[in-house]
Amino acid sequence: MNGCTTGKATAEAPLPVEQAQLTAPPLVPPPISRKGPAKVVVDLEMVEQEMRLSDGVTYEFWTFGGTVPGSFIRIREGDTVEFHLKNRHDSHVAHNIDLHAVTGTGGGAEATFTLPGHKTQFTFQALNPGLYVYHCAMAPVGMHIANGMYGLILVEPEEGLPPVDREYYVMQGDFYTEGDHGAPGLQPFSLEKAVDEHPTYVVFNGSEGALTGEGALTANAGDKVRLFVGNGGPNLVSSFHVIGEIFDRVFYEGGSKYQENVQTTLIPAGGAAMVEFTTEVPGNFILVDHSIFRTFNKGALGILSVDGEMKPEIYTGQQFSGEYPEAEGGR
Amino acid sequence: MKGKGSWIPLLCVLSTAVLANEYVPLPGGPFHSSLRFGNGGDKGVVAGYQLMSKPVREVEFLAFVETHPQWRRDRIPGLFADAGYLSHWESPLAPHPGTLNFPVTRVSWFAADAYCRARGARLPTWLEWEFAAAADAHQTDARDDADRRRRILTVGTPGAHRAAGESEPNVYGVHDLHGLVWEWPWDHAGMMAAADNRNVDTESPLRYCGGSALAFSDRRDYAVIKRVALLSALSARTTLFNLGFRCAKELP
Repeated sequence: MNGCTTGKATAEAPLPVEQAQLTAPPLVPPPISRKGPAKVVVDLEMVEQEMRLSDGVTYEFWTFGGTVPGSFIRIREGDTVEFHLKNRHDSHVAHNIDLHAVTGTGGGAEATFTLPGHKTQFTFQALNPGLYVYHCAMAPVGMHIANGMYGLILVEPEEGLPPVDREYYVMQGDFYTEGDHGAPGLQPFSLEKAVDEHPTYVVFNGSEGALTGEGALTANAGDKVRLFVGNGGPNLVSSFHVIGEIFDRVFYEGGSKYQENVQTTLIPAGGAAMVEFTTEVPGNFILVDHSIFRTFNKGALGILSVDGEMKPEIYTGQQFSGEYPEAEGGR
Repeated sequence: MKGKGSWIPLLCVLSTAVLANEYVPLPGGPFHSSLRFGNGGDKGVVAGYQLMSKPVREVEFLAFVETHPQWRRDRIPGLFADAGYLSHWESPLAPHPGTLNFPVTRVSWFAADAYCRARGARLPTWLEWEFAAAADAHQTDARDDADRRRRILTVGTPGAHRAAGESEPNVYGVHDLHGLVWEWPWDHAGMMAAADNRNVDTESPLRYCGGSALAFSDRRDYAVIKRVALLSALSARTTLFNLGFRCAKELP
């Protein structure tokens, strides 16, 4: 090492090694502060388990990390990622992972054919910054995705993302059950409805009401908010909208360019978007799929609860409610 | 739903099949596999054979390792089974007393193959397994029955294997081909490979997302797709908590 030129020594110096901190939705790991690449070790376990889909309704979910969507992974452009994938011993089928952030065969799927009770490993370099979906690609792939096997991996650009006050992880998915919407009990997967693309549930973060009540996202008036929004599908394309907010910036399709002043953004199945806005006034701001029957009849509804002082110069709330006189000579 | 008359023969089959793990004859015949074989073998003829009416039970496998001690978990070479082999037993010669009649699981292909050969039999081929599993209690090929498709897709979920399994036999008198445990076929290692496959791009079609639809001649038979996806991931020394076997042999 001592004999090398400075430039070469830097290029060949071993990368610092760190363990990726994974988070369950709607939380996001903290921004990456280091200024150079690292070797990042990701440990992710695939778990099949019965969880709540709606009030009184459960489903046998297949998951990355025990949640739907799966654990959020945050790395930096240029990082070398050593990916360890485990399939829990009580899983009943094999799984794998296709990360859209990977440049290579199958996005890692061909390297991670993982039986129950087994683990696999592969390494990739994150060449492109962006917000990427990952999902299980094991046959029958649609069923693995329909059962909840998807999540997001963020590859921060080298310069990082501009600081904001709040970051959240929201991912839409469509679910297909034998029983109708609301039919109680453990609901089996309906292959017919999935093939016909007629979902029983369309939800954010794996269950109806995951982002309401105790689960509502929170912010203070004046906060800059960044939402990492994914769409696992398997079938539907999302018309993502936040009622009462205008997105200052949308990094559409999870890419590097942004559009400004957007009302509703389209998120493809197997795609993502970063949306940023400032919460000017307090209130409950409702996250919806503006393909709106999905919100009112299938569950695609979340809440961002914003605290703070009213700002009547921006929004007054109701100023008058009453009858008005029928016009003279009216019908 | 069911004609009254159908109960009488069914009860007769049940009363004998439940007592012992017997072989039942299957006549074979023309059969269209849900898998697509590169050589066109998916539309072939299955020759007649015999198949165990139920998966091999723990008590039966215990008798085998008692008389063939090289297959005890503390003596088997690592080449023939991974570390999970019979690891759920209390000791090398002691399954849990409460599960003696459950299907034996955590057995490698090598051990399953040895068991069958020691009994003058063999593992069934995938096609033989699939031929038997296409039948329900009323017809020899029930694969187009939408209700049945639904049922066999949702069984086999975690925990299903823990039951002893007393399901209705199919028309041949075979029990529990669905919903209890996955089962080793004799040819698990070759079932996805085409007979003459020079195109490396399609060598392992199941491993890739887009290719997976190409390997199946019936893309709606998810119960079979799910099973084959798992079986094609196995190596012969693999053991799983939900993977067992049953034996087959030629017709007398």
